[in-house]
This record gives sequence, structure tokens and C-alpha cells, in this order.
Amino acid sequence: MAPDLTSFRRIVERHQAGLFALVRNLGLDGHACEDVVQDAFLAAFRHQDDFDPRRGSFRAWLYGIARNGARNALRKKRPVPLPTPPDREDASRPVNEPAFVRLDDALAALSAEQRAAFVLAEIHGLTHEEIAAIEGVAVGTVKSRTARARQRLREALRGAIQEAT
Amino acid sequence: MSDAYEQWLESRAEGEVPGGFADRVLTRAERLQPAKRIPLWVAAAAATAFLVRVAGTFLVFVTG
Repeated sequence: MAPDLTSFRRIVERHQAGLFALVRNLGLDGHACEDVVQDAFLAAFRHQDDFDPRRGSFRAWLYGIARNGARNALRKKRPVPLPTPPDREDASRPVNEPAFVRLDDALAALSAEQRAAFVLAEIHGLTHEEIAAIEGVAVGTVKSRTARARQRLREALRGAIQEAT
Repeated sequence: MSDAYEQWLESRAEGEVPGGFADRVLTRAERLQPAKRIPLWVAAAAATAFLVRVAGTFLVFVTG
């Protein structure tokens, strides 16, 4: 099937903000982040015939491509602090900033597998089945990784609240 | 507590997109498109015209 640039532009505009957030949440920023997101879109464009709606949503397929790209990029990169979402870097700090900082730190401290499962499930709303297909593990493994990550983050938040009171 | 948690999740769900990002992706995608192929009948017509011309030149040369 011939690729259609008009519908491809719509796909890019619809999913770009989510994909940038995903790749940043997985630990990449700046040019490395943009490279992974661009490559994910282009891989989806080239291999659009490989998408099978019976195996999950288009969004999950696209996020899976980006997740794999981020994993490969992270292997080549030395570890750096988890990037803060850019819209939080301006002067208008949120009311819950101390809690946000603790949660950011707790997210950064998770293992790569736990972080990926948590980010895909809790932040980006993919199903456990979709994440299992992306990560190549059993659904139960995804559930336990997500649950453990959520518990760590809840503990971090509880700590921040206790410090504040 | 759950309010802060939910707000934090939301703050991480949408990422800022660098200016002109979609255009850069589209430019790269355009380059990936296969070059337009010459229709078979056009190629056949061009080949025939070339052969007729070569044959004509040869006949003129032979018959003087």
C-alpha cells in the first residue's frame, strides 16, 4: 500500500506530544529524545502494513516502536538524571512541587524494566496486555513490575507529605 | 495525597514538542517514498522510437 503523507501528518500531530513525553519519561532528553521520536514515526510510516489491529491499538504499536528505540538509545548513553517535563521548568511552579520532585526522583530510581512498565501503564494508559507484547514478557510480570513501581512512588509521596507537615 | 499523585501523572503524560518537529518528520518521510516509476507503455514507446531511428539510419547508410 502506498504511504499517504496527508494521513501520516495527522498521525504525527496527534501522537507527537505523547511520544515526546514517553521517551522523556524513559530517560532521554534533547536531541536523543527527538531522534528516537522521529525514528519511531518514520519506522511506523515505512512499516505501516505490519500494523495488525487484532494485536492491539495503533497507539500501542507506535509506543512500542518508540520504547524499543529508547531502549537502544539508552544502551549507548551514560545514565543522566530523569528529564523534567519542560512545561514544569518555567516560573509558574506547581503547588505540589516538593511532592513532584520526590516523585520524579522515585521514578528515576526505578529499574529500567519497572520504570517502562509503570510509565506505559500509569502515565500513558496502555493495557497490561499491550505492555506485555511491547516488553516481550508475561502479563503477570508487567502487573508485578507496575505494582512494585506504584508502591515505591506512593512511599516517596508519603515521605514528601510527612516532611511537609 | 492522591490529588498530588494524579497531578504528577498528568504533568508527565504530555511532552513539549520542539518547533517544526512535524515538518522535519514529513520531510524525511517524503524522501523515503519510492521514486515515481515510468509507465511501461511510455518506456516501450521510447524504446521502439529509438530502434526505428537506428534502423532508419542504418538503411540510409547501407543504401547510400
